[in-house]
Amino acid sequence: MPLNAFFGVTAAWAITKFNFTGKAALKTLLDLPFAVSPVIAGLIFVLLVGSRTPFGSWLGEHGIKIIFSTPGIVIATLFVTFPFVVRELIPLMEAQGRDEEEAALTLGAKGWQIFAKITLPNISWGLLYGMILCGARSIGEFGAVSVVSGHIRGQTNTIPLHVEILYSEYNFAASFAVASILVFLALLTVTLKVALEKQFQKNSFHH
Amino acid sequence: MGIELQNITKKFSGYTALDNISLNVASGELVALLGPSGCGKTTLLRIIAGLELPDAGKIILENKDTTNLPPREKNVGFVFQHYALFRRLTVFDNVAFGLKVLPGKERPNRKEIGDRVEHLLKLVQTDWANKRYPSQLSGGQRQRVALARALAVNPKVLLLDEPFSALDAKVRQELRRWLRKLHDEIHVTSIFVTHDQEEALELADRIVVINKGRIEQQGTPQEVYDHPKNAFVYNFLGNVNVFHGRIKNGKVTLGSHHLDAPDELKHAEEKPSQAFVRPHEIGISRIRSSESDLTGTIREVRLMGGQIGLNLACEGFDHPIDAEIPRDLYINLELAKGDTVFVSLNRVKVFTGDYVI
Repeated sequence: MPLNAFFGVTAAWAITKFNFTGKAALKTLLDLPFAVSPVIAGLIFVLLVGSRTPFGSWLGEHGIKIIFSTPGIVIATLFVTFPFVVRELIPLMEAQGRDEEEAALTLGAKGWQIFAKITLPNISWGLLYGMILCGARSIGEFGAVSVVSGHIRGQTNTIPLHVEILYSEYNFAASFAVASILVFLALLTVTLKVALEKQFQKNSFHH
Repeated sequence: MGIELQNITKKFSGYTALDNISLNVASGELVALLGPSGCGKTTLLRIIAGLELPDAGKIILENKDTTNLPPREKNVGFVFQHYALFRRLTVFDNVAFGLKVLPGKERPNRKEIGDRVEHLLKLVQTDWANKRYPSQLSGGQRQRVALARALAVNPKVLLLDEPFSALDAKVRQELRRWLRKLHDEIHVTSIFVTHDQEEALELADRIVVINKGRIEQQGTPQEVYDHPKNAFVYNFLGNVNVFHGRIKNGKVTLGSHHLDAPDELKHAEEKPSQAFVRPHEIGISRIRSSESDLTGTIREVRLMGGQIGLNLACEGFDHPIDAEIPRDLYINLELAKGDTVFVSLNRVKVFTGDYVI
């Protein structure tokens, strides 16, 4: 989530506040995770860094394990949830335009000062909102993670994977119990989202 | 010399926004860049501020070449059309921004910043609002705050991009007068962009009329208004009636009507010409006072505040003529729609050339 927030802000900032060639291509690329099924994303990922590929074996030789371990899960989740923050921020930043940044520029502010004092506060609500959606998705992500993690209990298992395992072992009670944790988390997210939306609107009414 | 622009050219994909513009602005002067939208005036302003780079040419601010300096080193104040106040900062912090971002050595201490901001907010008459957020202010108040913010960094030049165009008519006029007064007090070299000829005429020391990326004419409001160099300038500076005619043997023929050509065109060969008359320079009378008077019928009467607008169909003219007369005259003459009146064209301005309205 923090990583995605970082990438999301960077990408949105680049796309909305600057003009460069390949902008349209980058924008399309950002939507890729939405378009591709998470399972396929996981498979592609295994193909890329699995132990039988050159890159994967090179990593293996250096003692870095990605597939069937936590980094793999993190990276796969990152990929799948990437668009949430960016998609939230781009319309917001486009609507706000570049005026305030330009004003800050003429007043003598440096790039990072503009970002920290003007851009970031302006998008804070949108960012938080995007992060929550992104977080919700990461908790529930099944497809890509299921391929990449290898289902090693106690090590590389996520809650949705655990639900699936318990369910296929006919352990219904346990399976639903774990699932109810997910439901609870989902409710929490939705509540947070609603609360934020209210704040968000209250803030944008001022403009 | 405040600002010297030398041969500024700027092209955007496909068209030339600014075509070899050279312009000097004296220190303390208030200059208006006047032109229709898309004529390049805002681009020129942004180039002076460093928000755009010119393709060719030089910008010299107070004898220093600043063409390629980034905006923050140019020391210009910029006021945006839509204010561009920082929405997450209070009015006070907005104005203080330019001082707070100065590098450590040059930054005044808290108290000094506070005093300066207070002073500026008093100057723009919004000191009562220093704890408010921009969204809690009206358009006119926001623009005043934006002005204070731009002045906070002691700019060498103040640039205003259509500063009043987003405000309603009444506030616009009030703020315009106030800005003129403020400029007379603080004398900072200023350039403002506008497409409103009234605003330029009322506010500026000097007007620069721009069209299609070129300067058409520059001079004091009086000069530009009374002696427009060409048809474009004349047309742009106010309402006009246009007559298409021919010039021949020192006479201009407009429909069935002849009038003496202006001195500089007395000996011109026969060619098409355009004659212009401003609506308020048309005389309306119940009695024929001269041979050259036209006979017209009132087709329409419009109430325009202090003035009355008349739309007249005149004998020998294909197009109706617009006239504006004072309300008193309108009442004295007891005019009404359908009446026949005598029309005299005063101060007809004749241009030859290819500019067509």
